[in-house]
Amino acid sequence: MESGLSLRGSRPGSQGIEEIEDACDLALTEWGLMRRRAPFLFAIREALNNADAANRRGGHPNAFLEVRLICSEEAVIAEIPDFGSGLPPQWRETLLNQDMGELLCKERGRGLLFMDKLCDELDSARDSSGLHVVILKVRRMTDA
Amino acid sequence: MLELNIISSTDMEKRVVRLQFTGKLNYETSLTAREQLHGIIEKLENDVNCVLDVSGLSRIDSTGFGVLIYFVRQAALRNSRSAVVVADPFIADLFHIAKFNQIMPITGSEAEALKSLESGQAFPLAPEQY
Repeated sequence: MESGLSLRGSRPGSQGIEEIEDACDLALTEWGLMRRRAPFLFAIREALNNADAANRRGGHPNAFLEVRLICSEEAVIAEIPDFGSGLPPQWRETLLNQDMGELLCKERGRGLLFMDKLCDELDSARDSSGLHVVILKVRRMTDA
Repeated sequence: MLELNIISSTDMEKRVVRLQFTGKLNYETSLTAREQLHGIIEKLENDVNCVLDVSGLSRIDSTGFGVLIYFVRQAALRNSRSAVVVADPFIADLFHIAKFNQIMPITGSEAEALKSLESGQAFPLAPEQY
């Protein structure tokens, strides 16, 4: 049995992030996510930040942000669409091969690192309308 | 809603600067945070110990971590060392994921932070090098 929710902010851009984050928190609590709830929520927030930055770069600064949540017996998935061009090619290799000092001391660019560490899967795709979507997944078996 | 407070206090005798963060240190408040920290850094003396207490934060994200590292690096350029005080175990984990423990003490209390700073503990990486 699968259930889904689409959560949009009532205000555009970053002004809607906190509202969406709170709604996600409620949904994840209701769906019984326990130990992985806070890390997953943190990863969703990172994806929302990135989506807002991508929308601004892509000329859509007032786009409404959205999180699509899908809950099944096996996993909880969050899809966060944006008007950007997607994750950079070989992003994981780049992340893994970064000089630790540079990674540590730069002021930006930690979002992907957190998402990668805090979720069981992190992926990027195009949805049916052609928007880039970041996909985050936590498996329920890891939530004990 | 933008809600961030950074209260700065200085103990001249012990040469300790305390920064208490409350509210949200995230994408929405990062510009305000950076401006406030810039003002604090401009007045920062050389060779002081800085305790960054983030226990009062209700939210933090990667942008907030970027703001903290900005302060730590600027302080290091003034030959000042920093330590973080964090109460929430999950947020403490985030500091470790971000490898902050490679450059500074991540502690659970101000006493622990001061003890670590005063011990002169060496760290694998130096923020002023980057």
